[in-house]
Amino acid sequence: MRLSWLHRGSFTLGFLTQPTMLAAPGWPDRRAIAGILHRPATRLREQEAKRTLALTVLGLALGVFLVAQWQSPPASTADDPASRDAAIHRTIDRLETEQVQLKKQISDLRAKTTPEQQQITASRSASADLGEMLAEQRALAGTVAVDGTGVEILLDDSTVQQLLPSDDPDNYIVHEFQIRDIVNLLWGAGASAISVNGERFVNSTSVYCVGSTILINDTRTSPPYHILAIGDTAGLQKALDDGNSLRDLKTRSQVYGLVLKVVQAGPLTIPAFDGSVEMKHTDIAATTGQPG
Amino acid sequence: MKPRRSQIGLAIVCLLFGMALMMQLRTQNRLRQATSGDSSTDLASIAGDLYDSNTTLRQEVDQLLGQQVAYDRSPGSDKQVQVQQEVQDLETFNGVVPVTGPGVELTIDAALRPVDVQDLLNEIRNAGAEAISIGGQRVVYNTAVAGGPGRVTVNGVTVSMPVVFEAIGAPDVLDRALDRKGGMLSYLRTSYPHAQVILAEHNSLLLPAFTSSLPLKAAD
Repeated sequence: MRLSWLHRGSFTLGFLTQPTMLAAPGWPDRRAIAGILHRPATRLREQEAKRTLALTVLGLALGVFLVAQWQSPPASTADDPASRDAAIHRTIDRLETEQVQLKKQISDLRAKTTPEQQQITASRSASADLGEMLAEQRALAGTVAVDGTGVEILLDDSTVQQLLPSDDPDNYIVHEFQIRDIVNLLWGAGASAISVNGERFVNSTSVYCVGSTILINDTRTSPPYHILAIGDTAGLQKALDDGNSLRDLKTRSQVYGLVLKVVQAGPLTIPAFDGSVEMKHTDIAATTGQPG
Repeated sequence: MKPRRSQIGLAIVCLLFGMALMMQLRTQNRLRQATSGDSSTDLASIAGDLYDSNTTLRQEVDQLLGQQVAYDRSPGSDKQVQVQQEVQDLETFNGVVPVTGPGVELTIDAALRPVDVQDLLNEIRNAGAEAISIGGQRVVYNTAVAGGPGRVTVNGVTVSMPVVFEAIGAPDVLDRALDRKGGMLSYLRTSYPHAQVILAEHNSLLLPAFTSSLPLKAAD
């Protein structure tokens, strides 16, 4: 698809720059111009003005032609594959709406059970530290939002306006492994909670891409990416600034204008994980257990 | 009649304008292609992932609703048992207790780089693993992979060679996801032609709890 595009582009360019099209000797006589303008050929005294006007009109027509030429490929694919894509897009939209609703439901249900559980763990018969244990495990699991101080990093596609034909567009856009690299670096630097575009990073979180779409916690995301990390601000900043860290990403940032910067350091709120923590295959091993 | 200089000038300006316009369009189209050029296959894959994800979310909703009903109806002592159960479930999810279950074991005898291990961990998580260990180090939410080629660290501990990944989950699902065409394993087999890569399904694996000189501390 991309190859045919470029081919089509060079064809258009060649056609336009053919000297016979615009050079004086081969230029259509004023009858042709008059024809374009729908005016009688007898008004010779307006020749000059008409010719200027004709050139302008022709220039505009060429512009329109060019636009039409460049917009036609997407339009020309509006047959079977496109309508199938449209159907899948509708399915994705529907599933995404459902996903948002389910996450909301999970979040609400978790919020609803919390006071009940607090009541239970506060009762006299309950063991003293049950409530504390529950709060601690929830915080580790990331199912509760957390406030703290830390850094906010912005990662975005390049802002360059023009690509040279030799440029690889892949160099100018955010890739999923870059998000993973930043998150891994932040964990290593002692971050205690991280979210990317509202998706909390928990023990089951994966960042992967399908085509050009990046999914985090099975949720579709798109640039710009706001990476929030709670932790020792100076330590996190130092790890990010270290010349040996994120070298590939920093090079791309310098060479291709990919956006990578700390936009904020201070108080942050990192949202809760609204996904599943259910275990279907895993059981706690008896402390004396041996590998099976 | 010869066109005047100004007319030729105008023609050239128009041409340049047209070319500039085309360049702009070309740039935008290429960027658009790079950022949203998902094929039908990709779109179908995204839809499939969302469908699976929603199924899991729905089960979580059901589980939470069940918990709600149980809290409302149970007598006091049973309620405590339920809270204890939730604490244990979360401990399992968090990796702070040793766990057992079916799964896969992946052994790679190659001087892997930290990024390889990091990407593999991501792939295993994405395949739906419920508990993971790398070289005997239990993976937790803030597990970082560092070090250098052939001396990778996980949770700050150097992983010995060959690198062994253990993952609990549906063995066939994990196996299929990890061994898929164009996946991480096929990439590793290409990048490390002499590497020995063994992926085996197990009925029962035992994964250790997370241990560290630094206690796992939640943000508060």
